[in-house]
Amino acid sequence: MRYAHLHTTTNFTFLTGASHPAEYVYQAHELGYDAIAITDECSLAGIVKAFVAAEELNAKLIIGSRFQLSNGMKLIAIAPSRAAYAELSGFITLARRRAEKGSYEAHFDDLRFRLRTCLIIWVANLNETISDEVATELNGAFKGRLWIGINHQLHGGEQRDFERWQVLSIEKDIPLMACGEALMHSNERKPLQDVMTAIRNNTPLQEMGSQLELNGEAYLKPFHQLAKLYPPELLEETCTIADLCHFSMTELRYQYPRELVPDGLTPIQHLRNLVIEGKDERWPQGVPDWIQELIEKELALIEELEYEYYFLTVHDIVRFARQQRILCQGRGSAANSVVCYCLFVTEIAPGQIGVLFERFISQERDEPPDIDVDFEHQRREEVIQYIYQRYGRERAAIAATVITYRTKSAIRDVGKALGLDESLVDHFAKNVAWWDKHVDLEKHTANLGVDIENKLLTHFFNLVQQIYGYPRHLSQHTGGFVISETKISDLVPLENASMPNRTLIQWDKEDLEAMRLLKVDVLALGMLSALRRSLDYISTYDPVIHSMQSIPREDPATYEMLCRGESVGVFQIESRAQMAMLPRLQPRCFYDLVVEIAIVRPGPIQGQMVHPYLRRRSGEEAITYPSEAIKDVLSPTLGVPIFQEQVMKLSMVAAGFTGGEADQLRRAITNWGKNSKLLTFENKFKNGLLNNGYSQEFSDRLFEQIKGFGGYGFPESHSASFAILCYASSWIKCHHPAAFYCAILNSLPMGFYSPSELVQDARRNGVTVMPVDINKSQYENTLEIDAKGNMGIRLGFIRVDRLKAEKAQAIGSARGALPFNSLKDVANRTNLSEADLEYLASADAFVSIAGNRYAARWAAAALMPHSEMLDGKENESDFLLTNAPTLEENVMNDYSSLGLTLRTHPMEILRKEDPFNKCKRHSDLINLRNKGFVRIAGIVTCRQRPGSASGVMFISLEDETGTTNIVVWSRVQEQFRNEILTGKLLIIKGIFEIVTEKVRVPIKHVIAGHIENVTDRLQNLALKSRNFH
Amino acid sequence: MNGQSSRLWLAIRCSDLPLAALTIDDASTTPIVVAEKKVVVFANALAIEAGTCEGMDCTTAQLLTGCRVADRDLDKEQQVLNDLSEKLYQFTPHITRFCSSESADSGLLLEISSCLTLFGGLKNMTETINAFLVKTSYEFKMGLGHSEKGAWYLSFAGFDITGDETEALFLERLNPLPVELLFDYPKAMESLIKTGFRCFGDIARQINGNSLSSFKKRFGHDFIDALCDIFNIDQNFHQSSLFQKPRDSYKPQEWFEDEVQFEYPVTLVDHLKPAIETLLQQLSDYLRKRQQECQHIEWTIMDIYRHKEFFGVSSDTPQSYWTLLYDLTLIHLENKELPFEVDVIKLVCRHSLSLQNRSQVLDFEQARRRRASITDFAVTIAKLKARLGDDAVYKLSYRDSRVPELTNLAIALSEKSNQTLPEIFKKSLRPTWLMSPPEKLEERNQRLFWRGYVFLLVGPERVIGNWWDKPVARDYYLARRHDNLHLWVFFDLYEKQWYLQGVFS
Repeated sequence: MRYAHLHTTTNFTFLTGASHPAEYVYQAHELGYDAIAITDECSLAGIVKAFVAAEELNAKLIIGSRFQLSNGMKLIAIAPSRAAYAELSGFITLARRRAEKGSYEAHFDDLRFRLRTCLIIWVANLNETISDEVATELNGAFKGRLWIGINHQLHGGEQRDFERWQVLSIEKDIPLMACGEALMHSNERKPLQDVMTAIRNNTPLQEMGSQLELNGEAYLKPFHQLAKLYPPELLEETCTIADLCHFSMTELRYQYPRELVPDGLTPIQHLRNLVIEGKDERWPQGVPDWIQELIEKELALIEELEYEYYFLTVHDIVRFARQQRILCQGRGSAANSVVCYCLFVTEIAPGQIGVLFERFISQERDEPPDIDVDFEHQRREEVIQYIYQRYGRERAAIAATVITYRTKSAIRDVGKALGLDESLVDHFAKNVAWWDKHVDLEKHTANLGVDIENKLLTHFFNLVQQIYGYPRHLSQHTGGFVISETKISDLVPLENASMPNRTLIQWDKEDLEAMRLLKVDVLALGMLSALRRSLDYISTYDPVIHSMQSIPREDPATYEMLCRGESVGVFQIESRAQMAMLPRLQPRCFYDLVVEIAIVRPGPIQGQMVHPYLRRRSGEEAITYPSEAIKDVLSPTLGVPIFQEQVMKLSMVAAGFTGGEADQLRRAITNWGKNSKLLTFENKFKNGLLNNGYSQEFSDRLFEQIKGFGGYGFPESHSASFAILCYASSWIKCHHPAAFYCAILNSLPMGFYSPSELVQDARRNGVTVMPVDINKSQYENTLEIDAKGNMGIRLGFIRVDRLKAEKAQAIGSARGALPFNSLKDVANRTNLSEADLEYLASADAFVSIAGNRYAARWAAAALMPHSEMLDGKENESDFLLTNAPTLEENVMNDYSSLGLTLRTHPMEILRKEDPFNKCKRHSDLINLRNKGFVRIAGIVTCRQRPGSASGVMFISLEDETGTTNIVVWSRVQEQFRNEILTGKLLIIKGIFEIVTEKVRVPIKHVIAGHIENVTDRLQNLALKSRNFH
Repeated sequence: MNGQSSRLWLAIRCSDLPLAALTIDDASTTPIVVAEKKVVVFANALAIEAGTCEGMDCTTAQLLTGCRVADRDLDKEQQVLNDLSEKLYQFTPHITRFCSSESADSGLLLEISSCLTLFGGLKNMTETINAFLVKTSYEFKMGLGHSEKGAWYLSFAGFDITGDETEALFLERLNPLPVELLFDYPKAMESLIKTGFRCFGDIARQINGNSLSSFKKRFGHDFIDALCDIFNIDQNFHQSSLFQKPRDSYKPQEWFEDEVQFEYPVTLVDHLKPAIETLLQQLSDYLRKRQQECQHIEWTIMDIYRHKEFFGVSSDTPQSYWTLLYDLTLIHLENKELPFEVDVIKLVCRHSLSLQNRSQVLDFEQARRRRASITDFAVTIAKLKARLGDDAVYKLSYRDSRVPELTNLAIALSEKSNQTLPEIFKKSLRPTWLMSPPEKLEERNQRLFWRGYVFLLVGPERVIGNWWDKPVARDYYLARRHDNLHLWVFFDLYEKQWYLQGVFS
């Protein structure tokens, strides 16, 4: 008996199918089907996942899609050939593009004229009125490639219905075939399928009634069951269709835009010319021989693998950005390529790190290279618009991101579908605290005192786990573009994104990789915006510094600053863990930054590489190498493998791997635990080492070590690219702090710190920050010479709460060169409303023309609309009789209207009161002995629980004298969970610890023992001065 | 500021009303919060101690403190205020309710100037009221003032009432109150705070210094009216008494209550009938005069020792005439023996509603007959209920379910039933007579048997579902009995047992 299943709905028909595409393929293979077709509703979103599984099993996969036409008919279109596939993809694009995101609109006429080679199955609906006219029309349109699909699901009346279709089949000469729909690969998924239907209908299961499937028969059945449902000839007919299908996804070849190559040149010639142009610029003194060799090697491989167009396309985009003075820089493995460096796509010169081209492209891997380019986050849209403009919307589209169920969304949706009490579901969802990454829901719930024996709750727990990872909808990738020579819709369907005028393809990043399609990542990076701004600011008073290249290299003062752990706002090393590592690691050169960025990661920590590295760095441990070959690889990191590239090189020099094999090993390590082939490499790796004369013990230890940091290992090239930005931002912070903080404040949101923390840090670094002033501020924060003649920062209107951007932007131009002289003047010369004026008054922006914030707000609230007749005739004696704001009131008003204060720190005000007067200040800690008791109070500015810190939480407590680092162990976290989660002002009792070992600058922190939440004292600050009288 | 009159207001603010109205037994020993729209509107002392506060999201409150969350019941709060008004009516007829739109605070305002003499002066009167309030289970704060709002805000100040209070004193006491109390005027309150106004005294000083108009142009008329009330400012400078707001008077709830005393102890139900008829006729007159009708009456019988027995009589439809209520009362009493020798019979009708006017249309289509039959039906139903009990009379409604016996739902007669079958069922083969629960089929001589041998004709139709409650897995068949009666049977895939689900007509 033969059978091909041709009616399959996967979970990429969102909230309908209850199995993954791969599960269907595995099950069909196990059941011995000839083939399986994936026929999601107006979608090809799941086919690549199915294709990967089919390739693995060498099973036959058929591509199709199902449509509910506007006339009520249900048809399946199957693609037997490449041309038919393009038709189908184009038709889906058409149907999707003309409807709103998530839906489609398909008409019979479109189908008939657009699907000229696809095979069509007319799915026989139970009780469908069969119109002779429609049947004739269908037969006419799809003569010879039309079937009637009989969908037996053990519903009532099916036998009777079958007879009607049989008559029609004979009358019209349309063959019948077995076409039982599968909504799940196994009938065990019936509850999940019901729940998904309930979620889709936004109705609890108990009220769904007949909207749920009658039974659980929509699954892949074994032959003996199929034989009971369908006559043999109907089953045989499925194989007739399958035999007509010769299309394989492997046929999908795609071309990059060719217009980038000038006439008369081959792509490689053009690329070579560009590289030559670039290398002359990069090495004006002449290219070193070894680099020239690298260039030749890379170009040869690029030509062989036909990746020229990809490089040319990325170059074109980067060239545009540079022309527009948009800062950009390639990140990731592309920094291993000298060609990319010559094309100005990346900034890491081959000498700076040990580049390994195989990490980027390898013949063995046979996968497209991945070039990710970061652009200034506030100007990335210009780059995206350029791509659309240059290639058109038919040829350029953004990749999809499949939004899947995570724990919280699964809890909410399943809970709602099961009709659980809303507050209970809310309770469950909120209790999955942000640090609980591996949720054991049942355990949590039992801790909450909820009866987990309850049957419905048991279903709830099971279903939440089942639905986890299921796709919910497609969203757009952060910036992955697919650009092609011809219509993209010939390759993959496009659909509307939620952003207007945006289209996305139905495949995500993994699909593109699996299909070996090239993607350009146009990413947004806040730090690039901040650097661009910084350079613009600095160049106004120091023209020498105008670009990244003009920043002096290897500046000792900059490294000195970093060695002290002063890295607030600096790219990549501003986290609490990084700040703690800086004094230990003592970065003194660029490569140290490369290591610093990579070392504070879960991989190196779990692989136990951090301490050996630090010990060797401080000279406590001897640096030894088993061989010269290994020394060449590991000497930059003192004999400790830290980077992915080093693992690859080790396998090459010590175990005899080829470059491609080394990359496969790297990928196997990365995917360790997820169907990885690591074990297949283990023997090869160890045997290779043994054959090369290394000891068994060494080979075992090395393999365990590299396996240890597996999935979390950082590529050296990526770290190096980030280190460039890290160094640039550090240098600017060190030498031009005003420009640095001003740029960061204007580029928010980015990084770890709030405006208030950045301003406090700026002031601690000697930068004068001046308040918002109606006559001095611009929309953004600006540089201004302070009273002492130093460069300071003037806060801009951007900081005023609730003031709209367009209104704030207009103030500067309305003011021009003529300062405002009164509130009335402001009202007359700007388009600010009464409410806008009140916002500005509350921010104390009128202090120079209308007195304190109270008086200004009082006056603003009574301003009449501008009128020639009324001007000067208003009652001016309406002055405010309340007292001027106290310091406390000013501080609290500053926070509520600006989010920061330039006056006294709130802790300084509270310091006079009990129990704050009994707490140490940050500046007092200098006098404390190691391991001494301390009680300290402050505002929480940062809470971090890095994955690399084995459950430890770091809290930054800010007071009027500085920021104290608090270390909270897991046990204390559990005990004071509420305080930690909700507290904005904490009093912490604990042990003061000074770490002096292996560090030049002692590291000081407080190990928390008892935590008290006194946030209400902060909230009442303003009220305290209100003495009733 | 000009005094308008010598009115005197006593504010009684129920500070724990949201919780107290819910009458939770362990409210004093358990941390409890009362929530409205998932936001905490009231937290008891234990909950506050545990870290909750008003305005907090109730899930957060639950998570942080483990306190119990109760839903606010505004109807119950109104009922509490109603009951209190009823009781305080003995002190003054001028009672109004004060309900904040922005907070959970509510209470009563009593205008007591005209009743002071009757109760022996202000101090005595307020002490009497206080003594009365202390006996209730609610928590109160009292405030005395020259105006409604003045008294209300002074209830937050906590002054003892001495009896020597003057308007000047009230104004002086208002001065230190924080501006935040004006939460019923949120925009004005926020603006005042952001302009440096800290207390009512700041507002008074601004008014005295710059007149009321400085507030009027900033905050509008509504807020100005409130300020005038708080500070007793007369906005109408001429003939102010003509524009004085009249005092609201409380209208106590009215109900019918009457009794008949028998001349001799009654031992038979039959002897009660004349008295019942008389009392119901009196009720009928009472209702007719007030253009009202009722649905429920309560009877009480007593003996000379004042032993009592109660019974209630209800009708589905409101009644203004006595006859149906009479019939229903007799149905209730029939076949019953009196528990004692009855000395008094009393009729009480506490709740009545306005008479529903029914327009009389010209009856060209003999609609009257239909209406009459509707009335007869209502009477019949009422009588059936009286005889059999409320639960015994119901109607069926269709409920959408994949499990056949769950598709019929017994609902109260007053509820709207669903008679529309989903499209899918209209096309499927379904009998009109469904067994609930399904009946087991016997197997005799390896053949199915239900009052005769049963033969399967068509099937199966598989029904699998309801897994979240009682899982169902059945194969349904159309079957025929030897006498050609068509049946709908199923084989239970879990129990491995045949059942009869329905019979085709």
